[in-house]
Amino acid sequence: MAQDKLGDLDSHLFAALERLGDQTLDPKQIEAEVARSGAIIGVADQVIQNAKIKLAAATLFAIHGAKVQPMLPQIGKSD
Amino acid sequence: MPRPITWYPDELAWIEAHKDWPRALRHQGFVARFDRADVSEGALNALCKRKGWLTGRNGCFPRGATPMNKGKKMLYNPNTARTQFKAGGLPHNAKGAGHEYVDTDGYVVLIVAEPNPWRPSSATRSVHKHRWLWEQANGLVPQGLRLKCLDGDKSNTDPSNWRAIPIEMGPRLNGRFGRGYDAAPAELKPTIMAITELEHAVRVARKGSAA
Repeated sequence: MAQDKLGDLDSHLFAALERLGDQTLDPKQIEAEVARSGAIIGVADQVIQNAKIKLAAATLFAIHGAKVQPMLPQIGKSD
Repeated sequence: MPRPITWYPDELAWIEAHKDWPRALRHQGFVARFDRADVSEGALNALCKRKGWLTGRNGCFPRGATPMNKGKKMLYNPNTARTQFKAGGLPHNAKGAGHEYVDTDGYVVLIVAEPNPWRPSSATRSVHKHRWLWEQANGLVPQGLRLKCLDGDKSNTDPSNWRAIPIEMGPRLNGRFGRGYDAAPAELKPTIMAITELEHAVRVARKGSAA
């Protein structure tokens, strides 16, 4: 169950948002949720950076074609 | 070498008798009366100064004199009155309701036919078009929130392109500490917004638990 698309990241983020918005949490649980959400944010930022790089690579390939393919070893490989 | 001017006694008598005349008139009169085209106005003036034949005028208003405009009301010249701005008038470059323009920050400004709350006697006011349309669709923007342009194109003023976000989220989206929302590709923008929302919720929860 590879959940590695941006849409999956979005669902993680919104799930965390809902958990934080829950009014029935006591202070200890809030702290736990805050800590978990902080970690999720850190990971999500890295995923975004990764996505930006992938997009840049795809753009380069679209503009310049096969010339740049030696520089982009991941292009053309499927998961 | 220039020759000194010869002055005849009848000429000098005439000049002294007319010493209080305006200088230009005095010179004209002298040249016409005595046929002395060789005498310039400057030469005549210098002669009068040497002889002490001053006009008696010092350029000041005499004490107790009546002002020249006494009793007259302004706009006494019909030519100036014709084109002068009248009270309650509009400037010649006033555009009126419905006019739109793009301001220096890239936002579209709209002139609407509503009185200006800061100047109730006016007939129109200018508003940011995106905010105006959004508030017509969704009601007033709540306190502490501002409208954020979602696709980065501020000229797209449709309410679906603008979202009310807490003001604190702004620096987390763009700027020095932000995630580069405006510069990011369109596919990543929703995710960046979601991350920033989560971060904001975390900060609010943390503040709430600290209080």
